[in-house]
Amino acid sequence: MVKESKKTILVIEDELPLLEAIQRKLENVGFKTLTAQNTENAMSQLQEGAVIDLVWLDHYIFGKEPGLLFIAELKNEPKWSKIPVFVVSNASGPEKKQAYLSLGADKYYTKVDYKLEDICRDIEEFLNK
Amino acid sequence: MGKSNSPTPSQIRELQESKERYEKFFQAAAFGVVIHDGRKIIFGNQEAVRLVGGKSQKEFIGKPILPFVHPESRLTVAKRILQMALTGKTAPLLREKFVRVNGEPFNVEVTSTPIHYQGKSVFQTIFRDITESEKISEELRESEQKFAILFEKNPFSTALSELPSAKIIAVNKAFEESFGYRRKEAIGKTSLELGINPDAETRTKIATQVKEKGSIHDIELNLRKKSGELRTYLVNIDVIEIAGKKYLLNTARDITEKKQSEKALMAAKIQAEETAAQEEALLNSIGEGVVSIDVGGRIIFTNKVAQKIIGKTAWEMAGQPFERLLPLVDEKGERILKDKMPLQVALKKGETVAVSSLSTPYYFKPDGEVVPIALTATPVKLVKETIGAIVVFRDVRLEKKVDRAKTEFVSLASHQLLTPLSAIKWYLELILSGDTGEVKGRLKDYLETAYKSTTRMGNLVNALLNVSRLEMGTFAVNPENIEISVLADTTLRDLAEKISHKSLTVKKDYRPPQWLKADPNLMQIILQNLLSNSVKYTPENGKIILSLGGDGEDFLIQVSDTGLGIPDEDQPEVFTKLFRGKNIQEADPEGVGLGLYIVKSMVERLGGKIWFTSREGKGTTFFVTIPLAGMKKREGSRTLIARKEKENGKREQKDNFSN
Repeated sequence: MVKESKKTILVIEDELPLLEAIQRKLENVGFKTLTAQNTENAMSQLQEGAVIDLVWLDHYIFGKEPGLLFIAELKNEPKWSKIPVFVVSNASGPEKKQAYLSLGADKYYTKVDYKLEDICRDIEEFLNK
Repeated sequence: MGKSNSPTPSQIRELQESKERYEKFFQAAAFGVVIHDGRKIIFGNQEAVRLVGGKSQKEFIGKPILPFVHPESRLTVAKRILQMALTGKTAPLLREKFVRVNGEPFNVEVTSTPIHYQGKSVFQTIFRDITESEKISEELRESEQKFAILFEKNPFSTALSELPSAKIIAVNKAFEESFGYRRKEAIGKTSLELGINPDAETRTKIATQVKEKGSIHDIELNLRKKSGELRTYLVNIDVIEIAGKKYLLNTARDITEKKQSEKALMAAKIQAEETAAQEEALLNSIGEGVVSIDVGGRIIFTNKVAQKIIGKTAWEMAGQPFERLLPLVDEKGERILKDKMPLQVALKKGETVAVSSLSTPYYFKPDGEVVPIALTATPVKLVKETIGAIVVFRDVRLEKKVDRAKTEFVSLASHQLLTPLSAIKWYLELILSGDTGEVKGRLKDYLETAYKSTTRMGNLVNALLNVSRLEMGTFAVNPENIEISVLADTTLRDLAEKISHKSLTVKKDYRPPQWLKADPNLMQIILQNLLSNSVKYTPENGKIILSLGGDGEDFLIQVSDTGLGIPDEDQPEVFTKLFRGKNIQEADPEGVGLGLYIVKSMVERLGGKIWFTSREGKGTTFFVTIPLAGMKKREGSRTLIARKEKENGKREQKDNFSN
């Protein structure tokens, strides 16, 4: 953890309780957070020039699958294509995982099987490489 | 024997005249006359010559009489002659047997008298042939006897009445037996007096018809016996004539029993028809196809639903082999082998075979459409011998749809559980990791228990999702070349803590080949379930053997343990969804009973097999074979989730919040 220059994580999660828990955990371990409950909001934050070190992306948002569209859009824009993306989803199974990885996601987690702590540690390790 | 005195001339003349008269008289007689002296013939008339079959009277004169007497009658003749000589009296009329010239015997009526002839004492024998008349009377007697017997023994009651009095003059035995009147009670009375036909109306009708036509035949009458009992008879009445006199011949046959059995037969027939109609209505009203089949597999009967599903009429199907009309394919579209067909099993083994609606074969219709079918074949047995079968089947498209909807619902519901479950889990994690301040003591213990339960619930939801994916057939198979021993070791490492906690010995027996083209995710689920079961259900200090390697055309996974074993009565249910053996419910109350169901469904869809041997209290060995040819790639929208054994693995130690 680099305390002097805090890294910023953009968390995209439609479920408010989950969003809050993620935010809390990330801040507790020393990250700054930006949050969005839908991908449009996330996109506008990016367009407004927010500096993002990593995107925490849910797959299902309001019952739809805009996560895939979002990452495609992100990776297609040279300004943002370098921003790492961790997908943390309820959608279990390697097809989704495969789809996200092929679109440029760096990690894929299923929520119920992982601790917040595990994911946060992976983020730290990833950003400190 | 004549007198020795010489006759006078007048006497001689008289004698000559008398001889002429005598001869003239006898010559024309219609009976045989012979004069003899007891030994030789002196005179025989023309009739006598005719009777013995001679040619002329002369040839007989001086002939001995003996040859003309039949040996049977010789003694009688001798006695007669002696009697006459002694007494001088006429012998009585006797029946004797004489013999003709040609040796043919004939019966005669004969009388003899001593006379004086030509001055001598001689015998005059008069006889007539009675053979013919005896024969006629014998025939008559026989005929009478025959008719008497016929009348008497006739099984129909017969009564003969004279007309016009109508008084009975004769009845037979059958009459006595049938009506209960003794012969003497009936004779001399009319049937009206006896009260045999109590119905005046029919009496009048019969009398009228008999009078007009002379007979009435085959009428059914209720006649009364002496006892008063009324019985039904078939009656014939004829007016007959004997020697110019008219009689009434009544014959009656008791048909009461026959009528009753006819009635019973009719009732039974009606009942049988009713039953058949009911059965047909029943068979046609049920919603399943019903086909009865003979022992050769040919159709005897089809109901309406069967006709509808198969798409042929009853006539088209009768006599056809059932399996040709209802060809079955498995879910891959391959024909089910003949000896695997439920009907064949029912006919050959005499066992009922049921194919449930969820693992159905498919009816491959001639137009190419494939219809899922649930089917039961039941043998029809007659004294232990199978004489045919009844096949009941139905189109289960709707059930499949409903089942699929249910599975999809489970899938959706399970999925929906994941979000709140994740929230609970993560908040418990935040609390336990001290993000909200220090947690200690009992509060911490309780929160840890809640956290573990949440993890278990996550595993359960994942298992339910796997089940629904398997049932929907939407899981994907992505075969890669994998080194199975590496996968096995990873799985064992996840279980390492529990293994060491229970001091279990694990023996690994890895044989070549170790590389296999298989979906690593699926293989991991299979290994994980089998090994974690062994670990869970093997008591402390027990032993587990994991053996992996090629076995002919298959890859064989064998997991043996010295665990609790599966009780005999539980063995058939082991692979049933949500089933848990009694002995393991106590050992591990947390299990849900989905693991082996998932493993079996998976293994079978991969073309493999799974089975086990087990003895309660001794241990269990599970066997899984996967074709070495490799898993076929299968496009699916979903992938099965390997259960996280995180609680037990490396990470578990980090998750241990007591740190």
